[in-house]
Amino acid sequence: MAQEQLGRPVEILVVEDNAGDVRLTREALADGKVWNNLHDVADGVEALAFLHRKGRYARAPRPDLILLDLNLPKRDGREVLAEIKADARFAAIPVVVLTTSRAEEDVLRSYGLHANCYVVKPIDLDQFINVVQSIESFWLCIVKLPPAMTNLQGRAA
Amino acid sequence: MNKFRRATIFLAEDNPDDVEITRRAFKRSRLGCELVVARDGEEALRMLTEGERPDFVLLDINLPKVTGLEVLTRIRADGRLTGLPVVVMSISDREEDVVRSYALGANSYIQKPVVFEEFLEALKVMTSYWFEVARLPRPSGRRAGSR
Amino acid sequence: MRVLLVEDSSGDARLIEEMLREAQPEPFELGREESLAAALARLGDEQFDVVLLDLGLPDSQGLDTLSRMREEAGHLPIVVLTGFDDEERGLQALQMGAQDYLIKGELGGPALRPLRRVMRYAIERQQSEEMLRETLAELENRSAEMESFTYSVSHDLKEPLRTLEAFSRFLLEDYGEVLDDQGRDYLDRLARASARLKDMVEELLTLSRLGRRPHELERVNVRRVVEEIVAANRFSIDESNADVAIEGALPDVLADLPRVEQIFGNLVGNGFKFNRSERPSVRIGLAELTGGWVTFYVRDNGIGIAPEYHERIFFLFQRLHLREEYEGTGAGLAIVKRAAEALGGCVWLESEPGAGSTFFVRLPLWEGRGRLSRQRLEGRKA
Repeated sequence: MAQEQLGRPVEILVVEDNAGDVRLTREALADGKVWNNLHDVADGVEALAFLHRKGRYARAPRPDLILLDLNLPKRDGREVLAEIKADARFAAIPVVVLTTSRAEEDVLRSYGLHANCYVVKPIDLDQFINVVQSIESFWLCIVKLPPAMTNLQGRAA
Repeated sequence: MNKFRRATIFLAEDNPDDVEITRRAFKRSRLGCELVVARDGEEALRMLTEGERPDFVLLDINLPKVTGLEVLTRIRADGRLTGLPVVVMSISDREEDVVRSYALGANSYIQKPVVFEEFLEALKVMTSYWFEVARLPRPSGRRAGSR
Repeated sequence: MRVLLVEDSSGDARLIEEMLREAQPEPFELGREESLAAALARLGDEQFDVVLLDLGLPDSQGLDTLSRMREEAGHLPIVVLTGFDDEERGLQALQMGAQDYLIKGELGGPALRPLRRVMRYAIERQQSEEMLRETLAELENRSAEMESFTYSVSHDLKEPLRTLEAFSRFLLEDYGEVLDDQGRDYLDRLARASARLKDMVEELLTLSRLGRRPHELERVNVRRVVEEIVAANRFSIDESNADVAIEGALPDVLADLPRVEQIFGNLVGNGFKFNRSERPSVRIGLAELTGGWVTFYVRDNGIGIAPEYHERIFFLFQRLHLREEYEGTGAGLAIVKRAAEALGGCVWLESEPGAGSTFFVRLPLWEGRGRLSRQRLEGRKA
């Protein structure tokens, strides 16, 4: 398993405004094989605040992986994606776009903005859970995620 | 992604033993994909820019002539190869290699397992994820004469 | 010996000068300044062997005086003079790098060592510390080179290892039927040997990463580390029907988190892995807390280890059991030892065959500030 040397849980940030989807994601990941912590924010502004550790996120850990919905209130997911990948501090963090849109245009544009992956959110509950578990199998078990050098500060003393 | 069409997986790997191991792993996985191999960075770039666009790239970091990271950089700079998924696969797990790969635009980084069965498992999870779960970009207008 | 006395009170200065003249006929030169600024300026121009520093000066007060003197003239031994009733401040002065401290009220008393001897010892001690620091630096250099070498080699070994393992498997798969039993057996051994080789290489890599001096020591909550290890290993623990628990309170230590995780991860893991009992049990607790050191214990009810192996068990790749019975290449304890020692601590074992094993790990206690000797050595300017 790629993360076993980490010695700490994998920090996942879910940017999603649908509370039901967040809950499903949380459940699917909690049953997973790899120790992980899920953080969720409901819009693009919060997502960026989390990354920049502003305000209530002052002690937030740097995410090892981001699951990003494109259709978000306040700030569109596409903009958030662009901003993350343009910032040298966060550009290396893998971003998986997890969204309902099947439009080829959205797929192309997301990859063009350097999303690491694009996954269409199934409407069916069981399929949704399967998809999240596939994401876990690949991104948490097989893949080597870029190490977060700043996590020492993020961790509570 | 049309699963019935054979997917083209582009492998950039200089170690002939690794090429053979990878070939066999794909055969074992019965994915039904076509493996295209480049043996050094220069060849990789030439094939990618002149030939047909593959569906997926497996890139080793340590390539002769032009390094894997350089190949990655050029892929990302090439407008015709936008969104081409590139998974860096390397024996190395050095932090610099991992971070730089992601920073230069690799979609994922996989440390090649030493044991074949584990490698096979990793390939299966990877291909199942990328070809069945994820949406791959399907840019319009392939090269002339393509299917 | 050239002594610089930094003292604004003339009375005190005269007294000190008299004491210095006592007993030994050995000549000495005494320079005197009345303020920190003047002293620093003089040190810039003239050579001295030792500084006698009053902490209460017109242009600087208390330990500030010492830290400023150390900044400018850290290569010189400094003996601090403090007012009476100031034992606590004297101790702090030692931590900040002074060689000694004298309480002015006690000067001249019969119990006190002659002032000259104090000076002399201060100079000697300073030189020892210099040598120590140089030796340490050289050791660290060599150690770093060794780590980097081990890392590179282990890393490079992986590639041919991969080929070995894969092709011996392929041979078996493709030509196994054509071979006789012996042929298949030989191939199988090849494949298994490469798997063992691979594990060893990975342990070497882990070991090389751990040996390096920790960059930053911090406060580590050992209880939390152990709890997280138990949580992460829940599956294996339940699978072995094991019972792992912490007994009592566990103090925080001054260490770095990855090493503490490696230490307890390995010890706890070994506790239930090498355990044939119906219900393997592992207990973690505090054995002793004295003089700035914490000793933890990790006790299991496993098969125990004969005393003649108690040292060998910590060597790299030592295995006491037949390969077929238990997994693990045996580098785990070498990792624990290396990690503990890198933190300034140590690890040892108490065990008898059939009576379980207790591993003891000693680590520096977190006391709200860094350890005395390391601070002293590192605080000095070369």
